[in-house]
Amino acid sequence: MDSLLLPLVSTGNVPQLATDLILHSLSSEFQFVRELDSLYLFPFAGPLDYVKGSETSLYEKTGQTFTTPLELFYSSKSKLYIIQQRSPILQPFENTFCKEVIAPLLEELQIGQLLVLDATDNIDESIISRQLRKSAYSIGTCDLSQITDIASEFEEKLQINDQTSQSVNKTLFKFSDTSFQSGVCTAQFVYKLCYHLLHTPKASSLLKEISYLNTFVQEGDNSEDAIAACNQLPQILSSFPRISHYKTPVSWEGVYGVREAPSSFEDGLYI
Amino acid sequence: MLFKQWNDFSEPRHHMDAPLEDDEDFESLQLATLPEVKLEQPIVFSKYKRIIITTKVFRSLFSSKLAHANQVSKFQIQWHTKGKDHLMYREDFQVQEDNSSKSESRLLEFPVEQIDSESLFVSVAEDFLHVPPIALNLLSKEIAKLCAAPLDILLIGSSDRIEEIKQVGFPTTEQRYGLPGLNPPEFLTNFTASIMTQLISNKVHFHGYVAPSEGPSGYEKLSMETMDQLIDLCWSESRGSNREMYVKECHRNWKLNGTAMGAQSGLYL
Repeated sequence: MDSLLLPLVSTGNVPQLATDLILHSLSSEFQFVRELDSLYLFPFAGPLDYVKGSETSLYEKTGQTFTTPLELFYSSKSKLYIIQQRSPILQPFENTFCKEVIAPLLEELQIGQLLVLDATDNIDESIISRQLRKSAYSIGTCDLSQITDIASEFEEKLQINDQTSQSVNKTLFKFSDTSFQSGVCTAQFVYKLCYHLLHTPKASSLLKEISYLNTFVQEGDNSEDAIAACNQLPQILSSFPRISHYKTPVSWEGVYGVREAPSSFEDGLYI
Repeated sequence: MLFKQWNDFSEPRHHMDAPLEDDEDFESLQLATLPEVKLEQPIVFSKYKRIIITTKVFRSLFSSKLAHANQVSKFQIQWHTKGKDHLMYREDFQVQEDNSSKSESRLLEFPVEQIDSESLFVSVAEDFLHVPPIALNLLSKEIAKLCAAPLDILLIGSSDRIEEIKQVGFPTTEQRYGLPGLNPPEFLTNFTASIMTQLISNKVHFHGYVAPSEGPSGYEKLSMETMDQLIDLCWSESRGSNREMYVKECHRNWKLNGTAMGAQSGLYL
């Protein structure tokens, strides 16, 4: 069965940047499939992105002239679909987006594993992991193959602890020992996504696993964070292609200014 | 890649929502109600050869034709607000009015006009304070459905992310107007982007151009150079007779409705 990578628009746009890196570094492997319904997303249209000096282009022979907010790519080699989401979901249509765009897509593409990429700069106290060895990443797994009777079991899986200021769920995802979080808040998009996928019978019957990779970042020039997040992916998805050389698309130029990111600190100034 | 909106306040840059609804229930798992969009009466497309789709700021380019236009139909968009308009924008946005409307239901109408024997004209009044992007997305979807008829589609839009007038189109961005195309990291947002996305997704052929503008959606300002270039481009589209009159009229309209940017618009001279 195929897998699907879904980058959530979140802090520092790290998931979007990571997706850009994957698609453009492996442009000979990934093919543009089609635009997805972007009705619930902030309007966006842009020129086709490319890597300077590269012989292969992501949009080669596709007949595309512009990029749209939500696009689907596929690698038959890795059996991996990737969504690139270029603009945020309009409030308050996050639930509608999950129910009417993502769930039907999973059904159509017969997705067995969903990998959700997220980033945050603020983690709720109630879900901070108490582990000593914490990394900048949280890797959570929701094993749906263990659920035989969805109707009764996901009620249990999605049970919420209301004692804290925010409702949190600590049973849906099983987080790795080094994760910086031990649960998810119910206000988080990933919780809503899981809820709606589990409530869509066909999608939930096909889906075996939902993996969640959350990166802790500070907003700024997040290009390095994106590379670091990409390096985590083979841990989660065994079929994830190895990337030896990351290629950045031309759209990144100038977004963070034309200077290189400061790396040294002298006389109180970054130079 | 859409990183940042025109305004520069200290919220995370992925927060781009229009300041319309103060939705406090972030934990809700319920599906939100969509605005309703409908075309008041069907249009017989066999009578027409082309349709011009644009935003309000470009109406001035077609004012003489619009003065004698005939309304063929109209789009109606209806949605419900929580009646807290006076709280629905932040201090750091350009505040246009202190609207304390308590209205629960909002209705917007965009006419479809016939500007000559074979041309239809739709201009959409964007307003980031009062028109939610979802309404514009739904409207674009309906307009794109209309455009499935074999019509020559001309799209004129604006963006604050470009420096000069750029050509757009599908399935090709051929050199129809001798204008350059978009280059990354330039991009378009708002209604122009929405209608382009819908036309591209539905494989509807169109051509057009986007002009550089400043200011938020619905309150754009154009530079004098851009205006002159637009006049050159639209002179052939407008199919008028006296070019000098046309130029004067366009400039006058833009100055009167506050679209003109620069010293002349802000000072007594």
